[in-house]
Amino acid sequence: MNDDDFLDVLRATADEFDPVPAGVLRDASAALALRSLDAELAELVESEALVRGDGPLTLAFESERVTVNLEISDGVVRGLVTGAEGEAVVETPHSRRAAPITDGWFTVTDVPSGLVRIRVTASDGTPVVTRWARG
Amino acid sequence: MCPAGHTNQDGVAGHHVHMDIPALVAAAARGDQSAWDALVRQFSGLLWSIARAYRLSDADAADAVQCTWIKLVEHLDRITEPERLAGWLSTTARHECLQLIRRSGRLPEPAEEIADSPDPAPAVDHELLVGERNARLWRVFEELPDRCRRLLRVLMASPPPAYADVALALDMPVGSIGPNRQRCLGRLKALVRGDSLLEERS
Repeated sequence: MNDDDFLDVLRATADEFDPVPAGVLRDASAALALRSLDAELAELVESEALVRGDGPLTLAFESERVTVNLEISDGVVRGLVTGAEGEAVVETPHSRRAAPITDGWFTVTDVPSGLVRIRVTASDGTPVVTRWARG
Repeated sequence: MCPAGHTNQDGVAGHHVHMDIPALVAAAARGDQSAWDALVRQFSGLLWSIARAYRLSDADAADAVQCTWIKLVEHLDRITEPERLAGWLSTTARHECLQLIRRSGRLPEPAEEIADSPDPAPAVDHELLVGERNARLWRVFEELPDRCRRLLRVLMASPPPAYADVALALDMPVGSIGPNRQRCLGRLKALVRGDSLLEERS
C-alpha cells in the first residue's frame, strides 16, 4: 500500500474513532449569530494571569467611550467600568447574565469557563461590547 | 438553529467539489447563514484534527475549535486574503490550542527529532486494515511518538488539508511536511507489522 492509500485508511479510521462531535458543529454554526454589528468594540489592552493555572485573571478593555476592567476567578466576573451606566451584561457563547453597575462596579457569578465578553451602554447611549476573552 | 444537513456526512463532498471560499466569506460577512455553514462543514474537520493533534481533551478541543470560529466571526469583515482562509484558521487554531495548554499548566511536549523507522517499512496489506482492525490501527496510531502522531493527526483531517495549512497548524516549515509524512507513515507501518493481531489473515 502506498503512502497516499495508507493515509486514506488512517483518515477513515479518524473519521470513525475521533469524528468532529455534533455539538462542535452546532456551536460553530451558531457562532455567526454572535456578531454584534451595532456595537462599538472595546479592544483588549491588557491581560494578566496573576498565577498560572488558577488564581484571578485580570483583563482591561478600551473603546473610544468606555473602559472595562475585569477580574475573573472561579466563575465570578467582577468588573470596573468607566464611561457607562445602567447594567453590564456578561455574555458567553451560551449564556447572558446582566448585573447593575453600582459606582462603576458590577459582579456576576456562575459564569461558565471559556469565552466571555461584556456588553454595556455608554453614557451617550452607544452600545459597547468588549472583544471575546478567555475567562 | 442548526440546519439538519449539518450532522450529515455531506462534508465529505467538499473533498471533491471546488468551493469558492472568498465568495462564501463575503456572503457570510453579509450574514448569510448557509454560506457560513458551508465554511463550517469545509473546515471543522481540519480544526478538530489540529486540536486533537495537540492532545486536547474533548472539552478543550471543543473550546479551541469554538474560539477559532468566534474569532473568524469577529474578523469576517477584515479577512484580507479570503482565498487563504484555511491558513488563517489553522494559525488561529494553533494559537488557541497553545493558549489552552499554557493555561492548564501542561508542559510542552519535548521536541524530539523524527527519526527514520528502524526497520524498513514493509508493504501493508489493505485487507489487514478493514473492519474491526481499524480499532487496533487507531490504538497503534495513538502510541506513535508525539511529533509523528501530531503531524499525521492533522494530515488525517477530512477533507485532506494542503501542506501549507498543515505547516501553519504545527508551525513547521512547509518543505518538511512531505519528508516527515513519509518517515512517520513508515514508522506506523512498522508498528502495525509488529502487531500480531494486525497480521492475522481474514
